[in-house]
Amino acid sequence: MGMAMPGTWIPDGSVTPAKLAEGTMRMVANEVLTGAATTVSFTGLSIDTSKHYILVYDLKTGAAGANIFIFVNADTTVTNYYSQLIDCDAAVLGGNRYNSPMVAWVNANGRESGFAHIFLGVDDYFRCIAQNQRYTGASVRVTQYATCKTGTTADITQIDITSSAANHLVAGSRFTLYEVDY
Amino acid sequence: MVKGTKVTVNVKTGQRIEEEVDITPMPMEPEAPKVDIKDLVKLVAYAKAQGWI
Repeated sequence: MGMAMPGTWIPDGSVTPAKLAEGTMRMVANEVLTGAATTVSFTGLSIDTSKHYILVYDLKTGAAGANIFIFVNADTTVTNYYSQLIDCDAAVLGGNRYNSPMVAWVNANGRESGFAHIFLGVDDYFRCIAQNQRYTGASVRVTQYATCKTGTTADITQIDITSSAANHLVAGSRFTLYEVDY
Repeated sequence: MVKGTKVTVNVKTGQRIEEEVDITPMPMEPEAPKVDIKDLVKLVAYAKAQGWI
């Protein structure tokens, strides 16, 4: 069974560095919290090299709900970011814009799964698009956040996921970061 | 400032650091204002029946 890649086939199933030069997606971190935390920070990154990151997460919160924010390059000033929300709950639609870098909103004792694509645009603006599934069963609901920074950034070397209050991400929350090189 | 746990994972070295740090409380943003599409459909039907649209 071969593997299709842009412009090249690998019909022999043999993967070589030359073939991988066409593009790869590689897991670079997989963090499962063993205790409550406020922030999970990924450092040692370079989006100039990796081109694009995908963060997959399963969020669990404690006794209170929390906003979940994304920050880059240790800039944790929320007003340096904007985000736009689309929220769909059965036939009820919602939307809002926030002067903060939202990627998710998790209710008390909540469980939410999602993924965020993280880019540095050709105009050097950090951009993130996150899609989440909130609740389960008959309450299933979808939210999507587009997030950007108010100023340009030379590179993205650090990505922080932070809850709006201390230690609202509880044990079992999982964050898996992939780099997409092409 | 309140204390909170920060987990740092360096993807180059694989080093993982868990530490207590000062956390600046962040805003709890409000949920989105919402509208029920079914109500909108009724509203449009009513407006059409009245000849408004």
